[in-house]
Amino acid sequence: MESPLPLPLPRSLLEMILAKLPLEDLLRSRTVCKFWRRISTTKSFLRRYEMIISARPWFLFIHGRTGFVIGNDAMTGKPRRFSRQPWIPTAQDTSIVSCSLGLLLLRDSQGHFTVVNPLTKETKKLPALDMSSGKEIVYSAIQCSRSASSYKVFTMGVMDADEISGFLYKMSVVQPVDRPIPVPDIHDYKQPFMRVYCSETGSWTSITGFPPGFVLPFRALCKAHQCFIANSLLYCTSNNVNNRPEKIARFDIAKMEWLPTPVDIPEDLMLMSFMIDSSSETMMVVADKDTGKLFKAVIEQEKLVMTAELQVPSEILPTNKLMFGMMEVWGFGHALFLHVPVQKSNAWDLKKWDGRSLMYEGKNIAEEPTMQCWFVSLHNSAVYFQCLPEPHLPIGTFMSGAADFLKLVYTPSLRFP
Amino acid sequence: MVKVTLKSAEGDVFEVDEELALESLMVKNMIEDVGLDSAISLPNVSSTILAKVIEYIKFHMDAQKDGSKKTSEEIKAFDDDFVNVGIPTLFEMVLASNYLNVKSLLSLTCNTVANMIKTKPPAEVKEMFTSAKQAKA
Repeated sequence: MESPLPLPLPRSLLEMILAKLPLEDLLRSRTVCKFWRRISTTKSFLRRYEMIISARPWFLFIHGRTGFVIGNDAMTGKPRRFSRQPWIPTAQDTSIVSCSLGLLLLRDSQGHFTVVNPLTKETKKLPALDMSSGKEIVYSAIQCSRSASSYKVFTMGVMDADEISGFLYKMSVVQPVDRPIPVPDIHDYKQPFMRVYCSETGSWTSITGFPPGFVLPFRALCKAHQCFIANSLLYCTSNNVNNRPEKIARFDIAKMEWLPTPVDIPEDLMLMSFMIDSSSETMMVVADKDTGKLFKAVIEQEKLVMTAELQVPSEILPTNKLMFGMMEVWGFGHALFLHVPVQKSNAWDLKKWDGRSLMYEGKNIAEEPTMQCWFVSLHNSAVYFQCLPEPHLPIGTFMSGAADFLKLVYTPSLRFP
Repeated sequence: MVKVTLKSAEGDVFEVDEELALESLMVKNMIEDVGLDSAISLPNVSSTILAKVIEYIKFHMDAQKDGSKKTSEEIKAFDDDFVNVGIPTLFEMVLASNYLNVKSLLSLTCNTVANMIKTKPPAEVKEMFTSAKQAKA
């Protein structure tokens, strides 16, 4: 029998009250008594909670192998602390690759995907993909349906990656932005593949038929590449032979097919980030390579159109091109987060950079703690910043293992994986 | 103005404007079912609480009327003051507003309880609910 309940209210009213609690308090309330715990863990309650909760998105800056490094409130930029680390089941070769409405997508090198809700610690392993030798995953993303409890997982990669990767690893070069590395014609090697998992059917489907000239980037060579999902479209970049993002390809999730025309990225622009603007429309942050200014861009009639300059004061932007290429930008609504490499000395000059290793004049540059994180609010054109104390990540980690880092906008929810 | 007679658990009679009584969806349904001739009996609501509920509805109806000079600060001050009662009374108001089906009051009182739970250690929350239960018993 149930122990006497500290409950002067009927269950339905108690549920209503608990559903009004912020997440932290809800989790704490579970320790009040067994009955409360049971109420707040039923599916019906959690579904209701999810609708009520005023979950504010967080910016997460993630080290793929170790879990969360830093989280910030996306509205205020204030750091979010996590009571316990790690709260993600991470293994040696597992990385967090994407998130949507509270669920995280984890991936390992064998093509195993796991969907996790870090708040409820529920996990679900998806059926393994056939990752026979030579296949390499480049992009992965998850999209949760807003109205239903289902989700889809997308993954893209290349067949016959061994040869290219081997070649590229041999070069082991960090690519300065304006010094493309000549690569032999690799189009023949890079046969893309794409698989979509749907939680309703519980199986993977293969998508064939890519837009013309679609080339996935090399993972070994580039900054953490990400595909981005918003408003039922999946965005990713298609690269040219020099591994420069050349086009933006879009996949229509409702129709499950690629839009026929990829959008060209003009030569003088660098695509920094995809994001959602304050009216929930997809936008891109692009940088003018010559002036180093950041702009908002949107896709209009299959063209990339710059609509407004983002008011990021030039003082915090890197001055030289190598630094600029290493800068990370991401955002949500009216806020931008910048991870800016800071030039500490003249040693950081592109001209003196040998472009081949992480050593500069015998000094290991990984030791220089020169990464700064800035929060820039673009709300009402009012600009303010806050230089965050963390993370002081060694810059070398960015350069050597860039693909390990991921920026995400995470919205907590109690959705089931 | 048509009047509606409400009868509390203790049998006390409250005469209120129909307009006001209709704010309670439960009373509204009752009026639709049985008409206005007899008193509406509310055996689950005590006189004290019924008086408070009427006070609440009256204030908010006045505040919403055209020409009302009440600012949103004043309304908020009224609400804050209104729920600034002991926990047993607060729970009774939750129950009454649920029973009478007065959405705005239910939301106000539930929010108040939720705010009391917030940031409290579980032991204190338990204490709060236990004391309310004892007071009721």
